[in-house]
Amino acid sequence: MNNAIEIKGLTKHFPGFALEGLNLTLPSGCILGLIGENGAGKSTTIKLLLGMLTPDAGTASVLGADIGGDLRPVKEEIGVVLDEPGLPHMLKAGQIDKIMGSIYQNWSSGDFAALLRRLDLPEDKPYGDFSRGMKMKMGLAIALAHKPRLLLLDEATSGLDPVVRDDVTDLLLDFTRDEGHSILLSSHIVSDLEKVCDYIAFLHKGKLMLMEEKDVLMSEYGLLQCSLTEAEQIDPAAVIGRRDTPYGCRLIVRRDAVPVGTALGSVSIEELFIFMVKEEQV
Amino acid sequence: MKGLFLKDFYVAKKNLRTFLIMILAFSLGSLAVRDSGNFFLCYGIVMMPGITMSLISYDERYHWDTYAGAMPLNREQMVTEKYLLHLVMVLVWLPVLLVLQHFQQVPAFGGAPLTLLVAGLNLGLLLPGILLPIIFALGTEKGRAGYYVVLFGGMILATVSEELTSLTGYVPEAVAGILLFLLPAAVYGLSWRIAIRLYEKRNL
Repeated sequence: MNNAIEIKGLTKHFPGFALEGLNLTLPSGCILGLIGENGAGKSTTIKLLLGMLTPDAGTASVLGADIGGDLRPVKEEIGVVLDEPGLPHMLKAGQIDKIMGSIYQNWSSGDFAALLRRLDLPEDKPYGDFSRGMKMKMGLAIALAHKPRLLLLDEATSGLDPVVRDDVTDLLLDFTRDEGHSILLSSHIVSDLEKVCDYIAFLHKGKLMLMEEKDVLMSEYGLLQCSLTEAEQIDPAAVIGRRDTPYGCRLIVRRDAVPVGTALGSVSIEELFIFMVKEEQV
Repeated sequence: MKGLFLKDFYVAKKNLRTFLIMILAFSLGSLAVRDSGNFFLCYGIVMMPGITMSLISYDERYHWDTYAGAMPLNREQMVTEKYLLHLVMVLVWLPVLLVLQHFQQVPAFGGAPLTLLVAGLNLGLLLPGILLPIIFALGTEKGRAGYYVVLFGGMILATVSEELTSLTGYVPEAVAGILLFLLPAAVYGLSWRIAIRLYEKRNL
């Protein structure tokens, strides 16, 4: 099996929102960052993959299992952190350990205890008294303590301070040292994804705008800072996004479509996403 | 499913103490009163659906229902756990009622244990049997409307009960007794299957 996730034409309609014909592939051993603004369809995609929502059209498979079938066996191998942590507030670490140990066949109390120590989570404090960052770390500890092959993380780093985000990033990088481990990580904080992801997908208003290897993406596009007059001379087909400022113009362009020798700066994933979204809105 | 029972045990232990204290207080109170013995004795079993509904409500409040959807559990297990939990509570409480009835100053239901069992089963299983599928389909917030519909239906039934009682004359007493035992079991069993079907269709 080469792909941890395969999505073909996945569609789901809600009043006022639709995820339209999503096609996405996550190769095994890789990290895919799903970038999109709030309400772009990231959570819907993850819930569809887990069978929590029924698609209106399209197909998808997770670790080789069709999402239309019984996903219980494959969910044993998936660690999930949702944007809303879902644990009763009175639970302490020991009780969570007992509950999850009864739900997951591969649950390891030893791994869970080690993760709590590594993530600096208290064992005697009720979950409801945790900060948002601690709750997310607890979610991650639970997701990892049953030895998953795939992590599905929905906004797992949003609302966390930089230090905690760095801890989480380290944990994810450790997880993917095993070549059989994969991660689908959705976020609207692009800088986090830029650090860890092998592949980047842009989701905007329920539609996939782009999916590409991060390194290809970074090398394919460049930032051109020029005057308005110079900007008019650039082939419009080469321009992915444009911002006019009082001092000139900032263009994101395809490197292979501008004249050789044009001085281009590097472009960040965040800039690329924002430029593409704004260009589509024009 | 053991993990689900364990989770509900921890939630009930912390959040539903008031329910448990009320049930105990009214049940023990049934030993002290001469009048309204039926009411005091049955109060506990009438309150039990409240415990089950509250546990579902806490699941929604903590977003546990969504989180559980990501675990190796299916919808049937999630629904079945709540139905089993409620059934166990009712079945464990019925012998307690019989003991209490024995020690009442004026035994409830004329001191007839079978009548008490029939009343206990019907009170304990019929209301959740009707309400739980609505709540599993719509959630506790929207499903609250169902509670009022059931309450209104119950009031109408109480109003016409005299006419219904006159019909029982046509049914042999033994048959009526068996029917009254079977009715709550049948409604509860059917309700369980319907709730599973409805919950499987719900978006988490």
